[in-house]
Amino acid sequence: MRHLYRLLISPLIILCFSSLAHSYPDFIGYGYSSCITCHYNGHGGGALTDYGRAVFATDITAPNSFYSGLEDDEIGKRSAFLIKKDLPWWFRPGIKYRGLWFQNNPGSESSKTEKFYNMQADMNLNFFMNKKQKYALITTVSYLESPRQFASSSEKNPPYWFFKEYYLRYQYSKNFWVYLGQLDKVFGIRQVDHTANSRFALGLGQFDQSQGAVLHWAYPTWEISANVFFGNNDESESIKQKGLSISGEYELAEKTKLGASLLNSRSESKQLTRMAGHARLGLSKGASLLAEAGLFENVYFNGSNNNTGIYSIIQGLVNIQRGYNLLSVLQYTKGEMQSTSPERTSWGLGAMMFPWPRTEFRLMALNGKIYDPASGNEDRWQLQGQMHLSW
Amino acid sequence: MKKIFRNLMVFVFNFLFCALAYSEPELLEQSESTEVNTAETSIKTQFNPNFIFGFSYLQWNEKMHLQSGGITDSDLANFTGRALSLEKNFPQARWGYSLGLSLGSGLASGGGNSSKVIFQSGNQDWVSMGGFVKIYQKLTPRFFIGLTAPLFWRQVKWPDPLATSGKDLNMALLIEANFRLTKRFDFFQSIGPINSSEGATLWRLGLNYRM
Repeated sequence: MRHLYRLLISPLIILCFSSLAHSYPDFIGYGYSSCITCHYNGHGGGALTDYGRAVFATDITAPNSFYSGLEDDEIGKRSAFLIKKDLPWWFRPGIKYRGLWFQNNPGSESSKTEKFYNMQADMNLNFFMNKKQKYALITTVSYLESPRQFASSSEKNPPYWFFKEYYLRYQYSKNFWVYLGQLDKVFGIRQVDHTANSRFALGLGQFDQSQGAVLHWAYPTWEISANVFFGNNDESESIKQKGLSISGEYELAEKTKLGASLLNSRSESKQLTRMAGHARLGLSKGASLLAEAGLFENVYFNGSNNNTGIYSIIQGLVNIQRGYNLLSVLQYTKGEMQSTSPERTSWGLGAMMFPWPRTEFRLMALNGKIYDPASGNEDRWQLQGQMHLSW
Repeated sequence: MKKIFRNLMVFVFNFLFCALAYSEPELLEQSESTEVNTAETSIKTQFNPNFIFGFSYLQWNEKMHLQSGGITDSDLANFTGRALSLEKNFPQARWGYSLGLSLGSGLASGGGNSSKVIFQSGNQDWVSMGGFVKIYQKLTPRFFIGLTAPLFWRQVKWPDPLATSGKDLNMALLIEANFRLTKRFDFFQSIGPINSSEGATLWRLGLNYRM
């Protein structure tokens, strides 16, 4: 009976204490210029590798009482799922939670609104077929409280659990990986803010994973990926975007990368084309600048509302002291290049903090402006707070 | 054609920023380190003013005052444009200050929201000229944070003489973040209140070239 109890309880303990932390493209300032260094997905996002968790605990998180008096090696070991105890080599789980609070028009008595979202609740279950992790099954199960953005008759009403991401990862050689399954599309900088104009507005948001195949070549000074995709499993067939994307980066100098991306896809009702160039610069330890600028074109086959627009995003991260960073995000979008459509700009300024292991806090103030030849517009202000827990 | 050029300018400006990738962190940090080491020995030897040429994109709002047949109302005007600047920089060991001049131009759009006075005008040309004072702290050799106080005169001519906005002479106080991309190029962004309208903010982003 005692053995049965342990068999039942152990998975729960694993899930509760498994370690999954954060790593961002901004961390090129620490010398981590390729996402595959820390992530199972070589383009970023999702679960961290054992090495990624150790880097996070020793380089990114602030010195704290949990690790007081410990050397970096020991801190790295304690970043594991069961903290001090190793898991079997073939299994790596994780839990990630993000909560978002925001307030629109702070200071205004008449138009102030405030809300809190459980933005993300994911469980990673990753399996490996050998110790070198040459063959891997990477999965993410998500809990959803609000409907996703695609209106699908096959999607039931939330709340519910669903497989957001599931793919086989095969490392063919030291520099070549193949991914097969449902995963994020390859395009641009995969920054963590899924609402950024370089993500959600381009069809690369939080739930825009697509079934397909990714070929990824990664060498010390360059990377290139090709992604064929066929739409999300939970979408109706008529709205599935099917197409191809290609993305690559080249290292001009140490901690200096230039890249370009191209995406083209179509469904029964519309065709989407995106092109972008980007740069990732590591300025000094913990300081980086990311920039992406591109074109997007939406063509509707019924002839209505076709548009070609431009966007750009510039994100700066400066480490003030270990665990505490200043964050700045500038965004620009113009929905139509050749018309009098409005230009939307926003600037967010705030802090990204990692005070304790497996924990992140963000505080941001955002100012949004619209330049519209058809009318004058008021500024929009928003305060944001986020809490991320990763186990 | 003018609109396409303007839109492309904004896009190209952002993409050019992406392309400024050649960095010399070792040289930059070495020069900064030398500057720090000499600070304790001699203030005169580290006093090394230089000139900086800048190009920026800026936006701000103004309150519009509308009048027609004895009826008055208020509305909003948005200004967007670009500016060239030339500043003389006086760097110290851990901080610095600069004085500069700027010229700007762009487009303004206003009205369209008032129900009492019908007025709407888009893409009106504006020009500006002025100066600024900046003081900054070097948090790291590659990142400075500071305050900029621009004072500028701007002119915009709305088609209706009874529609006015803001003030001709404007003063702002901006927080500025400056990223030193390379030895010569900086990327900066600043935001703050501008006194031409109630509760309005001005923000700029741009590139500086150290001559």
